[in-house]
Amino acid sequence: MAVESTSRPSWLARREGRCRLLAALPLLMALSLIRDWLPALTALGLALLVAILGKVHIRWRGLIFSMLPVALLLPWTVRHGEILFETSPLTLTEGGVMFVIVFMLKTLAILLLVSALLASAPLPAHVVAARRLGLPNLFAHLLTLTWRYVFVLREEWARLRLALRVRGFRNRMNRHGRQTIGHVLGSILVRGHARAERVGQAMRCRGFDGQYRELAASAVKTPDWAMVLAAVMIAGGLIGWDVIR
Amino acid sequence: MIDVRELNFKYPDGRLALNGVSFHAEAGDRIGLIGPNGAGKTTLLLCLTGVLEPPANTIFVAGLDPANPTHRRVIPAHVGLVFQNCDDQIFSATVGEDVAFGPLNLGLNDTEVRQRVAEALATVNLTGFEDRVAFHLSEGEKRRVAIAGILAMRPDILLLDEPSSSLDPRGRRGLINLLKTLPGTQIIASHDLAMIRETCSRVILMDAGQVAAVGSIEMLRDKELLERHGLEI
Repeated sequence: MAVESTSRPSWLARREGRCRLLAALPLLMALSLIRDWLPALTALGLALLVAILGKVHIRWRGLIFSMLPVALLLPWTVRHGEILFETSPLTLTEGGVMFVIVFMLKTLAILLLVSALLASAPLPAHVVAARRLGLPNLFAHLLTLTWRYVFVLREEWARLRLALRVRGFRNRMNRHGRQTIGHVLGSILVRGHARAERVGQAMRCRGFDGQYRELAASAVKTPDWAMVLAAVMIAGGLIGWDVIR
Repeated sequence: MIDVRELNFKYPDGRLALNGVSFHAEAGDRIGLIGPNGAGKTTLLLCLTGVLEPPANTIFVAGLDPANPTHRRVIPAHVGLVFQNCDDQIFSATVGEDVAFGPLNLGLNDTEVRQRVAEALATVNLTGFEDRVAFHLSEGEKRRVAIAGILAMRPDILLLDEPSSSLDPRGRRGLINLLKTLPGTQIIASHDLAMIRETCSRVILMDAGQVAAVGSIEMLRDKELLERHGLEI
């Protein structure tokens, strides 16, 4: 991945979960609304600062390479303003170039912000915070369990692949190959169902009655509120600046 | 403490998993539940916890009938089951959250839950593991987390299904030492007869859904009996 977001201790990680989400939302919303390059560039600078605070490990080369196809193709899709280059049937306009610059700046800024958010805590911690902000209980529960068991299923998939390889299986796009992969996927599905049954039993054994309970949230401190306030002000400032320009 | 009388259990597909099982256990008993694969050991443990619904008046655990829906709701406070595969049991993201799951379901307040989590993790020698991601642990550590999750509920009866499976020798030794120190009644279902000999005082031998023999731990010396039921020491 171009931006690694494994959770690690940081200033952002020490902030309260709900406040992290509340601070991220207006910033992401503002980023999606910006249309001018200068506010977008400023937003990218701020997102970079947040990423540094969140100790996000950015692999610039990978990031640039992954965005390059879009950056090369997108300018030709917008016809607006002065024509810079034309070769039938392609036309490169000033509007097209500006569009791709703003688009790339915004995309990069959103990517950095989301990565900083994800790096601040494991996914289930964000789900718990979202639940405390009103995310439906069932949805939160499904997300948490999915995140947990996707790794178990990945291990099972790896084991089955290994079992196929030691028996000489080479994945080719022929009838035998498609049939084998179909059987493996079916096997994972059946195992997944059986596991779901056992997980349900284990939960009932520990008194689960359908109501998901958790320890009380940690107290919201002044820096948490300050972070939310700063995020709202920055988001408002960016939108206001964009509208004026 | 545990009273099982002529228990029959049939799965929805019609397979008779338990056929006339009867036994009795007193408080503090350490019972090894042994038998070949498909003998009905896991089914019996699931019936004792009320996860599988047995016929009425065939099981009484801590005075509760798992067939009674009202009793079934309070059984988790008295009976804890450690599953064979830890990945089935540890579903929370972090160790602390997973161990807290049971006590929270018992309706305890935050202070008590945190205290129980700390105590349970200390008992299994995992102090400081609260924030560790559960699926990054070794098999031995996962097993201890699974046991801590049950111990945090402070059950009177502890049921363990194949606790030593998939453990390396050091993990297995650690588990045996831990089981010896745990209080309360224990029923350990296992093929690991050497472990049963170290941790239990009585043995129930099951085969084909029936109790084939009940006796003291000395029963494990009866090579012929064990071999007759697909076991060896």
